[in-house]
Amino acid sequence: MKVRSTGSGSGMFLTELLMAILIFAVASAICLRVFVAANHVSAESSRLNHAVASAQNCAECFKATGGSLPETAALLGGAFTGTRAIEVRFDSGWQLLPPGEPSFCYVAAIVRMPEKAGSIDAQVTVCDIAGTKIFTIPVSSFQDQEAEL
Amino acid sequence: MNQRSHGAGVGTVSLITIFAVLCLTVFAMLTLSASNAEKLLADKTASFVKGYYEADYLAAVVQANIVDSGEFPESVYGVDVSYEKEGAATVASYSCRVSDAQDLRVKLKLDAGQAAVLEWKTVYALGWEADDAITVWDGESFE
Amino acid sequence: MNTAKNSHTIDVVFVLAVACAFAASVLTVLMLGANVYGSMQKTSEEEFKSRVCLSYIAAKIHANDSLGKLHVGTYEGAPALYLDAEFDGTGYNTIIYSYDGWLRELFCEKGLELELSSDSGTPVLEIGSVSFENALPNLLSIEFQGSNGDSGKLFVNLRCGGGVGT
Repeated sequence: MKVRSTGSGSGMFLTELLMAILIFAVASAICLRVFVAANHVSAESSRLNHAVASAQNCAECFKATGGSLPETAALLGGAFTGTRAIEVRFDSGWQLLPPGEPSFCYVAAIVRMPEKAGSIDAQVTVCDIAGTKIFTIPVSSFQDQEAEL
Repeated sequence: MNQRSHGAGVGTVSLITIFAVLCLTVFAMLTLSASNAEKLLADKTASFVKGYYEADYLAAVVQANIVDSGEFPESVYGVDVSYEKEGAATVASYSCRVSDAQDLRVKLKLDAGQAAVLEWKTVYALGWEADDAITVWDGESFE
Repeated sequence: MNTAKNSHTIDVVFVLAVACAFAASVLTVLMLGANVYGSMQKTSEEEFKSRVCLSYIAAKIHANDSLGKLHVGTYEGAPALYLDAEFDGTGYNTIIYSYDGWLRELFCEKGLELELSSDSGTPVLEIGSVSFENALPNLLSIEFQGSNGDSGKLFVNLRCGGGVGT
C-alpha cells in the first residue's frame, strides 16, 4: 500500500515559520517603541544644549555692552521687540535667522528688568515656537555709564 | 511506506528568529542607554551654567550695591564682604556659590567712588589635601 | 498523479517564499536598527566635540579672569589664548590653541614657549580649528570649526577687561 506523502514536513515548517514571524513582529514592535523613545530623548538633550549655548551668548553680550540693547542686538544678529527686549531667532537646526524672520523654531529673548540703582538687570529666556521655556538665566551688567535702552 | 521528512529545515527558522530578536534588543538597549547618558550630561551642564549665572548675577548686584552705597557694608544680600586697605584704595573681596564644588570669587578695588574689577573668577571650593605617602623627587640633586 | 505532484510543489514554493520574505524583513529591520543607533551616535559625538571644546575654553577663562592676566594672541602663527599666572614669583603662561586637528593646552614658564614647537601642547580634544577674537575690548569671541564642517561660536565677557592681542 502506498501512503501518499502529506507534506507534513513543510506543514510543520510553515507552522514554525508563522510562529517565528509572530514572535519577531511582537519583538520589533517593542524595540521600535524603544528606538522612538531614545530618539526623542536625544532630540530633547540636543535642544537643551543649544538653548544653553544661545542663552550664554546672549548673557555675555549683554554684560559686555553694559546693558545696551541696540549693541547687544547688533552683536547677536537679533531684533528689537518693544522698548525693553530683543529677540534672536533660530531655525530647527539652531542656525541664526535674519531679524524678524516669521518662520522660526526657537527664540532667545533678553528682557530688561525695571531699573535698579547701580546695575542693569535682564532675564535671558530661550523658548520654542510654542512658547515653552527651554532654559532661562538672570544677567546683570554693572552700570558704569548710561546705557542706551 | 513513503514518507519524506523535512527534519533538516525545522529549527533553522527558530534560530534565526532568536538571533534577530537578540540583535534588535541589544541595539534598542544601546540606543536608549546612550540617549539617557546624553540627557544626564545635558541636564548637568544646564544646571551648572544656571548656577554660574545666578552667582554672577548676585556678584554683580553686590558690586553695584557696594559702589552705590559709598560705604563698606559687611554683608550684602547674604554675601559676606571683607575689606583690605591698599594705599589710598580699598580692596573688597567676596564669594558667591556656583555649585557644591565651585565659588565665584570677586575682588574689587574701590577708589573715589569707582570700582575696578581685579578678579572675577571661579575657584575650587572644596578642601584639597596633598597626598605625601610617596616620596617624590623635589628637584634637588642627590648627594 | 500530476496534479498531486504540482500541488506538493506549490506547497514547497509557497513555504520557501514566506521564509525568504521573513528573512528579508529580519535583515531590513536589523539594518534599520543599526543605522538608527549609528546615526544617533555620530550626531551625538559631533555635538559633544563642539560643546565640550567651547565649554572647556569658557571654563578656563572663567577660572582665570583677573586684571591683565588674559589676552588673545598668536602662537606659532595660530590664534591662541594666553592665560597668565604667577607661582612663587615666577610667571607662567597657559596657552590654548589648535594645531594639527587638536585643541591643545601648553603650560610653561613665560618666554619659554618661544623655544617650543606647536606640538608641545597637551592634546585636549580632536577638532578642526579654534580661533579667538576680541569682538569688543571686554568681549572674547571663540569660534570652533569641526573636522567635518560643523561650527560653533561662544562669546565670553571679561569682567576684568580684556587685553589686546600681541
